[in-house]
Amino acid sequence: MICAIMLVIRGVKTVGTEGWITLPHWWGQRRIALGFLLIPLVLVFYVAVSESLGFIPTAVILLMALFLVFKVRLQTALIVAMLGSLCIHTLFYKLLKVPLPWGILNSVAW
Amino acid sequence: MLANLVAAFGQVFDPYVLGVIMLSAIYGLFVGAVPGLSATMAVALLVPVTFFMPPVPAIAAMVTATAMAIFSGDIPGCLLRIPGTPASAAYTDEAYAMTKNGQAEVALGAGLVFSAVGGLFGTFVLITAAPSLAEMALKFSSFEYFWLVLLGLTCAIFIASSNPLKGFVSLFLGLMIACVGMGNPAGFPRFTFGNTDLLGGISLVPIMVGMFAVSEVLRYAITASQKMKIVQSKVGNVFAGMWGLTVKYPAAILRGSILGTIVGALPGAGADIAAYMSYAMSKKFSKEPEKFGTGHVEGIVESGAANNSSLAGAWIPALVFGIPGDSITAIVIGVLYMKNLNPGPMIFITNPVAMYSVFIVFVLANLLMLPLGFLTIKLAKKILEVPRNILMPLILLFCIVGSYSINNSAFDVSIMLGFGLLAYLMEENGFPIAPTILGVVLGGMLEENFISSMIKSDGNFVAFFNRPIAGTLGVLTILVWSMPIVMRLLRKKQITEVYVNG
Repeated sequence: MICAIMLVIRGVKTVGTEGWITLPHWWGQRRIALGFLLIPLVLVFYVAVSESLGFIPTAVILLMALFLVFKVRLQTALIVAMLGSLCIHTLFYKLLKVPLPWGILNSVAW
Repeated sequence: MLANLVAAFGQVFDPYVLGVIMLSAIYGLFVGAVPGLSATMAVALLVPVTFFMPPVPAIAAMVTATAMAIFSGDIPGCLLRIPGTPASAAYTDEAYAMTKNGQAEVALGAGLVFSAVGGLFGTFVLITAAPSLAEMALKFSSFEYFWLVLLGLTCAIFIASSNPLKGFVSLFLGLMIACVGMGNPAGFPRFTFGNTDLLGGISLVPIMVGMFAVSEVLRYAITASQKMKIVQSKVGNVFAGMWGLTVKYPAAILRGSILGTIVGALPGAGADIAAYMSYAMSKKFSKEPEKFGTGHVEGIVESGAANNSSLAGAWIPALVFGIPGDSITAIVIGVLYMKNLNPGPMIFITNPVAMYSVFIVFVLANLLMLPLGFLTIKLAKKILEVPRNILMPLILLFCIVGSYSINNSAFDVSIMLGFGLLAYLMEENGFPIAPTILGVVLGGMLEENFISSMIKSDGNFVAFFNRPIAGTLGVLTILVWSMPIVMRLLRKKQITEVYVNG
């Protein structure tokens, strides 16, 4: 509790000198801001749908979205997204025995 | 002792462990050489994988990967003027200037050879100092531990940050995170906001993956559009002329190694600070300081040795007291706890074989660095051309699965995201991250030692100063705390004196 109060006091002190929020300079550039915001977004997306949709489809969508914003060619992006998801799935599911959710692919689970 | 040593050799030279060392060496060299991926991130990403390994290969993987990553961080610094890891930032300009003078092979060679030398020196100090310190630490009671942890946390603030105020905020944040959950001596749920997922406390792995890996990915998203230009230069035999440098700068090598080990052993300050300090020191003590910055190898020799020796130095307090010397060992300690291999003086008695194995792995990793580092330098151009826009999303996916895998809960992924954003915002605003992570790791230990001391002394605060070592540590801690206030008073006095006199 004491920590928390001190934290607030110190925080206010520091902020007082610089104003509450200063927008970073790259905020104006659309694509960069989009890329930055997309990272928390895809993570929220993962948390929200991975149980029902399954790990592999979620991962592919997530990777595709990031690849496209970071300007990877569509073809490369598709291949890498598929292969990457499968590799990581194999590594954790088979080798490390982590029960990643199957979701809609439950019927074809291997 | 000898039987233990033989057993340790047996454990390390097991084909499985050797395979793990080889793989993590390659992994470390790669991660270090890619700009934007730091050595700390390498360890944070290794945690989920090592979680499923026995203790010895798990530690071996982390030791090897960090040693390699700290060296290979020199490579992009030398060829691109972008440090591969923060630990190489101190002498990036120097190395790049050498490359422009056509001396890339000397710069890279010095980085490689003296990294290994520094690493071996730090290991030697670790091997000799740790067991005897542990013997002393066995006599420590909760009073001494309380002060030791407090002193460690204090050091982390004052060494790691130019602004102690921000360091304090960062530390308190870490301590507050450590408070979350029911894992406190009173068993009372704190800061859980009625959330059942928070009752068990916040697990360490998502915090670390978030703070050290996700934040790097976020930072990449912003710098993505910057183009990199590789200097075209021939890199010949990097080992040529190294013996000459050793003879020419023996004092620099020794100074760098010693300083690195000490800085590493101090909590909160790691390889990057060791490199900065020893680069400055090298300039100060050099016979030709005017050559620094124009492509002079002396500073690289000294700080290259320093950043690798600090890695081993950081393990001294980590193994002996359970207090991490830098953020990498903070992660390692978290892993050791998960493996029920609680660091502290008792580990030298209960599990000496594991300790000897750590020592052997350290020596092995630093020796392996020479041939593998040589290969990496040869392949450097290929590694630097790896498209980072493909690499970063894959790393993010790996982070997700890694955080998920520890408790199989999607909640941990949200925790990781939260801490990734937090770490990013903190770094952008000049708040150091190391105190936070130390606060998280050491918060529980601090509280437990405080409570058990209070119970022992029946709530009498004076007992904290009654034992000789505890008293000394206590006074020392309070002295460090009062330093900024005293300094400010002195400065004010000086200013008024100047004002009055002049």
